[in-house]
Amino acid sequence: MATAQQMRTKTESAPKRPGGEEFRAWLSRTWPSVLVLIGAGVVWELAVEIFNVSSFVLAKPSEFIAATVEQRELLLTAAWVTTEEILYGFLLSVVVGVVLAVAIVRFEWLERAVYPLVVLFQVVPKVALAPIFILWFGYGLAPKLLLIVVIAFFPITLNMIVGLKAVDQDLLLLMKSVGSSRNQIMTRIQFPTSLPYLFAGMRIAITLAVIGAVVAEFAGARDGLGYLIQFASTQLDTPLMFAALTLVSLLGLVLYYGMSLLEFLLRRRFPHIKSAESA
Amino acid sequence: MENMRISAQHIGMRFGRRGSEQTVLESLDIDIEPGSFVTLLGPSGCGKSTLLKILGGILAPTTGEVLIGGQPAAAAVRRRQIGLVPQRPALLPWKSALQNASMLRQIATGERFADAVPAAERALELVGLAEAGDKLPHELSGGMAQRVSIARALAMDPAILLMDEPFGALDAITRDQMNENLAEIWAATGKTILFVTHSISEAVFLSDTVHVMGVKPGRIVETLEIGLGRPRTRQVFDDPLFSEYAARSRELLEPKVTV
Repeated sequence: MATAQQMRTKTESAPKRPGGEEFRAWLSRTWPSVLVLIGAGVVWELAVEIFNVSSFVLAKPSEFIAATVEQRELLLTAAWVTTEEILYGFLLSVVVGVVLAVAIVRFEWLERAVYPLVVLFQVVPKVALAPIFILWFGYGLAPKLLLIVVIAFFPITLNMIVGLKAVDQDLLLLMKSVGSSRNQIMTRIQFPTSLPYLFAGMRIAITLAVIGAVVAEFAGARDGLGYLIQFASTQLDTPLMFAALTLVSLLGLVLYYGMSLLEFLLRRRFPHIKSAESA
Repeated sequence: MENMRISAQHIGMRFGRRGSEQTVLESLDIDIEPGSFVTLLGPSGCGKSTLLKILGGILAPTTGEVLIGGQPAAAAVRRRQIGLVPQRPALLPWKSALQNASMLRQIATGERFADAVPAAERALELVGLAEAGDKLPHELSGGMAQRVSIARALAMDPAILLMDEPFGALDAITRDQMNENLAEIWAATGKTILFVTHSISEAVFLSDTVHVMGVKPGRIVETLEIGLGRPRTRQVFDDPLFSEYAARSRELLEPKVTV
């Protein structure tokens, strides 16, 4: 019974790891909303059944789950295309957002010259830019990436700027007391200090990137979940529409929690990331 | 040993925009012997902290000049002769005590971490934290964090240590321990220490010279030479001379109250 013994010691020691404890806490926070979700699905199913709603108008959960299984290859291919767009677009947004923030904080004249324009740009309804980007760059990857960046870079830039400026004044003075350069202060103090703020911005940006990808596909694409939703709507294939929609939502959820995971892993190296999580 | 005498003449400091300027310091002259322990004692808002930074060459005064070892104070900063200990520890939360202790030295000298380690370890030993090098700041108590902050300054082996109310946030018991430890460090290293505080007993216990400051504008009201013997331990508190210096300081700080 050595294995049973081993297993018991394993489970007994599990809560001691902070990761295990956090997972338990997360689980106990999450299960009520999962229950509500399942409950809503059941009510939905019954309501469509009882009121005899046509499946052209509103598909039952069981119908679009069936559609998902039936057309899984089509859906998975489309999901992969969209995932790629989102990830590339998101990474590009992080690069653009971070570079812009660092430049704005590092050079005062840039803050005066560019920052107001960046803020002003937020007034432009960026969804409306999608057709223009399609016109310029065609149906390929480029217009999707561009739209995602335009939508998603702003929260990253804004958070990063706040983070870079949130430096302990005593630390700044210390750096000055040894005659360090502004670049040294930026790389050694400001950049690591801003990490929690950057992550807060990235969490917002990843969900915006999902929106950007789907909107860009609506405007013109040959593949992807957004394209599939539109295609299904022209075919009056409501179950497929709902299946694709569910998949997009699921994709957003997975990516969002992927960000949390990345944050969790980075916390080993930079323990201060945790402190700003609630902010 | 280099003669790092600090001499400051006609130091004045004004803050704010033209028209609504505030005079923080007015025409101060100070001379500080190398290797002495000098305290700026005063109420909040008297500009003692500003004066400390000016004397250490970190802040440029509006008028007057500070010479350290006969050269402009900024040159001493460039030659890493100034070690600052701010009011709060201001440690990098993602670095261990040893990494924090070596950080300023690395920047000042351009050394790699591995090359800065021996100096940082010696400094941690000096502040009594030889065993805590691997700890992260959030694992340290307030007193320990401030010790790391002192070690961070000592690791550069500067001629002059600037300490800006370093024990202000600590509880009374820890504070007494830190004061005794600081007196030992001062005796062992022979550094010039410029110390800022609003605690009378702390000032008298630690210093050779106490400059008592007044407000509006910030100025030195009187300079007390503390003639207590060295080395000093807690027994100094019972010395009648100690009480005399303390009473005189109190009188100077609250001129309207008769003691």
